[in-house]
Amino acid sequence: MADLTGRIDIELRRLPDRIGVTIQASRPTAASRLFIGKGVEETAVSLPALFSICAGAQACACASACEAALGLTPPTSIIRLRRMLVDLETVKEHLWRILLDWPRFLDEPPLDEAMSRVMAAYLRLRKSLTRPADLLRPGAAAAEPDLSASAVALDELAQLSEQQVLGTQPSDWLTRIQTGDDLLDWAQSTDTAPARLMQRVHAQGWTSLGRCQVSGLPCLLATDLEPLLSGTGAERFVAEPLWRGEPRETSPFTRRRQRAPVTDLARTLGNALLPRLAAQLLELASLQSDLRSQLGRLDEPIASPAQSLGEGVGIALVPAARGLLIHRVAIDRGRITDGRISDYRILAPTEWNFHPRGVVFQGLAALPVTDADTLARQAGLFVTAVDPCVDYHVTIS
Amino acid sequence: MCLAIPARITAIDELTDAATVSLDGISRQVSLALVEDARIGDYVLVHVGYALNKLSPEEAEQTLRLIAEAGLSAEDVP
Repeated sequence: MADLTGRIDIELRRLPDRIGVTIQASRPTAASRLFIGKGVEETAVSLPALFSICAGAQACACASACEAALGLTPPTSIIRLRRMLVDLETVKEHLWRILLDWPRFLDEPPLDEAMSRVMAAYLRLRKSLTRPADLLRPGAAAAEPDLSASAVALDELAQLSEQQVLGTQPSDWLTRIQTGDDLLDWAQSTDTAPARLMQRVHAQGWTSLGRCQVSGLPCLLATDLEPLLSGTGAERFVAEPLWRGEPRETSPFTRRRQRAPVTDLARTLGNALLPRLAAQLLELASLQSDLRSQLGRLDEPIASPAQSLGEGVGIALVPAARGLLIHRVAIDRGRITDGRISDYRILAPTEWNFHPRGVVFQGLAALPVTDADTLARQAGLFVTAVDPCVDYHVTIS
Repeated sequence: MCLAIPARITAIDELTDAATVSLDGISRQVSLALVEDARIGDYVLVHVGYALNKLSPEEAEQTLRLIAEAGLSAEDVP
């Protein structure tokens, strides 16, 4: 069944002087074609049901792209609430990785019970923010979140993050951790699984694993993407994207590279393992802090994630949990109620990051030649730190 | 794009908090640690070894229909 959802197969070959790498992805990158010919409203309901792991980001991108294509501008409060739902989903996805996957690299069991409590708080917060119920549908008119219930659920998430991950409130962690040395001090003085993992990465000398030269995806405009997503090469582009002929990375690391403590770590370690793990912790703390402050300023201006590209075409760029999520839609009539989808393309961050010559390929190729068990653990942790949204398998020969 | 698949619970092992789920005759074990009150016959959304949440039969049917329409089916499993 994992194959139905797509899978990434990574083969590592221990050669005398280097690691040979082959990455094969079987992800359904053309699945969005099924929406061609369907109505706008039906698509907005069906699309997040199909792409359900990042359903909030997918729904936000779909609604925003459709609105831009139809020349609609949603109220500021709707744009902001949608962004809050996307950020909340990112918090949940990061906690999934940190609580269920990171302990494996400490030979500890996944923290199922803690993640179960995270899911319960996440669902309560999502429900209290998703008002009106059609918030994530094109044409949503007015935001009416339950602010007091949202604040209570955010407190629950912050408490879980403190107990299971950060050892302190997210806002305190952000203030305290400014440099790589601060991060090491925190890891040595905090008794949570993520802190222990940071200690182990330091102790084993794994901090610089996977360092390579792949650059971050620059800040793209919809007009930059339009020719790539609409021409005859669009299918290939969304399956194996390149920017200016080169593979690029879009991830929590590239988003947070200019923020403490990632900036300090990247100065000496580049895009290696430790700055990646730190970026995920930073984003976890930072987004929770941002969500709290946004509850009180729903009507303050915020940029729309979508842009119209002429009549009937819209492109949305949404910062999803694993990187930039891009939707392009073309609609052949002018209203939500009778518009029909004439083209739909989705470009997910995993396609950039797990490109056959991309950052995971180059990072794995940079691992030292060592025994098979150590290599498997280093590769597994590096791939987990980049974070695919599907199952992956590493084989070593 | 990140798909999760709806699957029907055919058996539950309460000792391990795990379930056997079935889709198109393919069975596999998933953890029930993240969902509450799951019962045999319920549909759950499955992702990397975990049941994420319960779905109504109508929601499951709609999603399975979309998955089939997208050209993805159990026959694709090597």
